[in-house]
Amino acid sequence: MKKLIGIMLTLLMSLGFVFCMACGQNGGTGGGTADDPYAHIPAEYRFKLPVEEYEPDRVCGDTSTGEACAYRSSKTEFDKNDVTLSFYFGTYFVYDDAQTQLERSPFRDYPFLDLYCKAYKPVGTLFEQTGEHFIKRNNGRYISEHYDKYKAIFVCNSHWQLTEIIFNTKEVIKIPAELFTESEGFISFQIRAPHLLDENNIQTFNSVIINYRLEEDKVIIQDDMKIQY
Amino acid sequence: MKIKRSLLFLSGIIFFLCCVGIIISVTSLDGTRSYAQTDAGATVQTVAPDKISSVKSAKADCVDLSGAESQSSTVGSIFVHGALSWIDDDGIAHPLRGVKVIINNRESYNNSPVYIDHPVVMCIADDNGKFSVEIDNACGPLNIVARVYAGDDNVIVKRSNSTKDEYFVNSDVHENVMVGEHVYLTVSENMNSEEGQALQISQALLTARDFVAEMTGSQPASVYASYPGLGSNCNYSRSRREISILKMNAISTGNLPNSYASWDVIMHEYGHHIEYELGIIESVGGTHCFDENDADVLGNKLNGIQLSWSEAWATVFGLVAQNYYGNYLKDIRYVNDTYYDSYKFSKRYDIENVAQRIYGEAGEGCICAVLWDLFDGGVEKNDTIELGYQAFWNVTTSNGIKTFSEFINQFYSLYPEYVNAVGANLTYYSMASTLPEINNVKDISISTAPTFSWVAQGGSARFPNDRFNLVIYDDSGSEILRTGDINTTAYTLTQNEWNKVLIANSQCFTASVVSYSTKSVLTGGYYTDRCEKIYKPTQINKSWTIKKTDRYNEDIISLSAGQFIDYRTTFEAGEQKIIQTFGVADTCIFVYDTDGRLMSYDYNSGYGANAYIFLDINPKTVIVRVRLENNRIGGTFKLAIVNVREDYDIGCEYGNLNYFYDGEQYSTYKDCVNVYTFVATEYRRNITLTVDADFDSYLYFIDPRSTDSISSDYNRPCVFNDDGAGNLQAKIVKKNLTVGVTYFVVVGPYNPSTQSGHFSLNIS
Ligand SMILES: [Zn+2]
Repeated sequence: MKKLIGIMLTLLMSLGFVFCMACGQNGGTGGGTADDPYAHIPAEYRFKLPVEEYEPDRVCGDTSTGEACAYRSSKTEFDKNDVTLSFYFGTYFVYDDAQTQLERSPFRDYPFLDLYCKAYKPVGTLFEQTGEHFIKRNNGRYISEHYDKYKAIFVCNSHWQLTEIIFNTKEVIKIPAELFTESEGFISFQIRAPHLLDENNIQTFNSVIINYRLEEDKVIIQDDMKIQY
Repeated sequence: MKIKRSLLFLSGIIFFLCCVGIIISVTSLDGTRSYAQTDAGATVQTVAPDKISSVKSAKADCVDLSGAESQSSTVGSIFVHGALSWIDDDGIAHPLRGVKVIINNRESYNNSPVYIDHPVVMCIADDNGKFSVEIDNACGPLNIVARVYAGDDNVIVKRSNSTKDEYFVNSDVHENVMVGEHVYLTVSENMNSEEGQALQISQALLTARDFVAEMTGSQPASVYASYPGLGSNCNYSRSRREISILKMNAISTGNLPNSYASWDVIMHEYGHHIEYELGIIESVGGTHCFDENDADVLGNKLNGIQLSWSEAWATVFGLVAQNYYGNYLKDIRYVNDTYYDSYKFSKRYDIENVAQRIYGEAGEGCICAVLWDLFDGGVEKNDTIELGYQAFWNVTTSNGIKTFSEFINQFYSLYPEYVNAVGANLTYYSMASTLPEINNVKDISISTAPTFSWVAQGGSARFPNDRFNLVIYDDSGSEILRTGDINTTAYTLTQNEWNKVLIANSQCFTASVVSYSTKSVLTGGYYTDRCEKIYKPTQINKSWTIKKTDRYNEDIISLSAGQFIDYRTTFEAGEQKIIQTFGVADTCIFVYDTDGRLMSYDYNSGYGANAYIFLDINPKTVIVRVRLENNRIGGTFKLAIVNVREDYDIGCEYGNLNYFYDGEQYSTYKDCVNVYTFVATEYRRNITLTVDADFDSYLYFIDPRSTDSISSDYNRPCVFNDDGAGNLQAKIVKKNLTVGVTYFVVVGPYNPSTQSGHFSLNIS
């Protein structure tokens, strides 16, 4: 294990990435600038978030999941047979040393990380699954083996308001045409970590939703990017 | 449990209007005009009470203002009954409880789609979503329409527009209701509209508010929710007293509620409101997760522990409140369970079984789990405590506590009996260290103190537990010893500390660790549970064999206070035995069989404070445990064992041992010796004992007060002799005996297993 960490550290250093940056307080080296320690990271991996006006006594309510999923597309109109999007995913990184991060990652024990696209149609105020596309299974102790890829940097301002999430991995996925069955529906890109012995026991899960409209053979998606965290 | 709406409203009806023409209370009502499209597109105009007083006054004389058709008016009572419900996303109807209902008289004008609704009476729906009001002095006929609000005057859901209009839903209009008539109204709203969603939000908020009122005995400060909330998350603004609830479908596409159905989230936000009211929040806000250490994430311990406390309390508050009203809420999905279900989550978060247990005092999920277990009645592995609603409320909300550390210290002071009981959970969720273990448990002895070790924990990589005290308890859980500060995770008791443990009046001891995290602000100390009982060491697990050939056996031992000694004693001969102690120490003897069953014991049947046992049984091996009767003092004693014969008429107490008579003939038996006592008198202080036997005799003369070993020197207190009288006969000369002391005398053959016969004992 020690050796693995060493290798990962080297790998990370060579990538010029900075560890720890949940809330980006310790700023960075490795190619960034004082203003923007992440300037060296390609823009497509960076998802800026709308930041509300700061109110000192506003309590943030929602408990977040610590994982993030996002997609990005250069266009919103596709041929139904070629809906290709870039998906990004990762987990919240807090610690600046790899060993600690690894030890404290909620995902350290998960044997698999599966990627899916699933299709849904609205039913009243709820929805119903209409199709599914399994993308791939990452075997092994995913977080261990793909430590560097699976981190997401949550950048905060001085008021601890989340301003940006920066991913380090993406999957370019062509969503199968047969998933687009509804005149209006949505596709959910999902990461799932099933239990080793029980596929139905999902230990972690997150997703980002792509709302679409079907007009003959055209798929029109509502947003050209979206992030869920 | 009855919901105490009476706390909020002295009666279901707080004012009535109509013919009396007086508006008793109007400020609590919607102060502005509201518009909503209902009634097939007609514009319904609500006229705020304060703006319609002139109209109302005009009605005082029962002038018909309906503008429709001229009717003759009469004065009397009209009775309005209503049944209100909301229909959840699963299509299940639930009573709409506790909401404000205003009965309006709708004025309509000929050929105009515009109505003016005049408030007539207000009431609050009961726990079944029902209401019944009597409109007194009504100038009938009236056009009755009930306006059902998403809340009451204390907690209400408003639109997030600039005018913050209150949500409401109107019933159908019952026209031309005459005096004396009863009107039956129903409102049943599903989740397809924001109005319906607001009604569900109101149900969560009212549940939370009612719980606070129950716990505190008074109505909390008012607050409103805006829906759909602006921004990217649900939150609470203290300055505006505003809860903001997003309008969002569940993101998980799985088994989670939409935002307006996320009671856990809505009640969590209300919990923040209450935290401010109670002064138990000092939160920096910011993004946070269940499974993280907020101190590490923020890089600031104080901020982190304050954030995690305020978030965890708000979450548990909501779940406890749901539990309190569980009978009302049981058929609402995601409500009244141990899960925190958020539209924003990817899976249900079970606070009863928090998967990530490593985040400690700055871990939201970990705090939730500990708090929930303190509250709930489940008997789980780490949890034997059930505080229940009121006690849980009191201990978590009093004295302005703002961190888990402050909470636990308050808990300890209120519930000293649970200090260790909560420790298992504190260890499980990483606030406290692990249980102390003894590394050298096999080696500990009176002179070798135990070495304890533990894992620091604390939940934080940056602010871990780094200072400890080790506490040692006796069998009953009373504290024996508390070490000074320990800055490592292992500790060997000093000999002084160990002695303190050893002398405690208890056969066993247990230990717990108190952990502090000292970096930045000091937090803790978090007590672990007590470790398993550890038996104090016997100094020597001595083994000895009482042989057939032995005449007399003794062993002299000094014990420290609290110490005891186990002699694993094997008897070669099957005869009876006398087991006794000598010396001045107050000793006691316990005899166990090899399975640990107590066979016999004695405290004071021997000479003075000594113990004496006549063991009339025939096992091969027994454990003879000897200790000082008072564990707090040490002492030296002699344990003596002889094989004897039952028919020799030995009494059970030391004083009843046979005195021997000068020159009398006695017999010895195989494998045995004979024992006697001799009491020194004024006239017999200097004596000579001789044996006259038909075998090779042996003689012992034991001073029962002495722990001196037996000696051939007559000047020593305990002496033996083999052939002092010549011709293989024993003889002892003793001078200056102490008058009144009962000396112990043993006479036997040189080898009891091969020799026996007759003898006489002569004294001069
Ligand atoms: Zn919160």
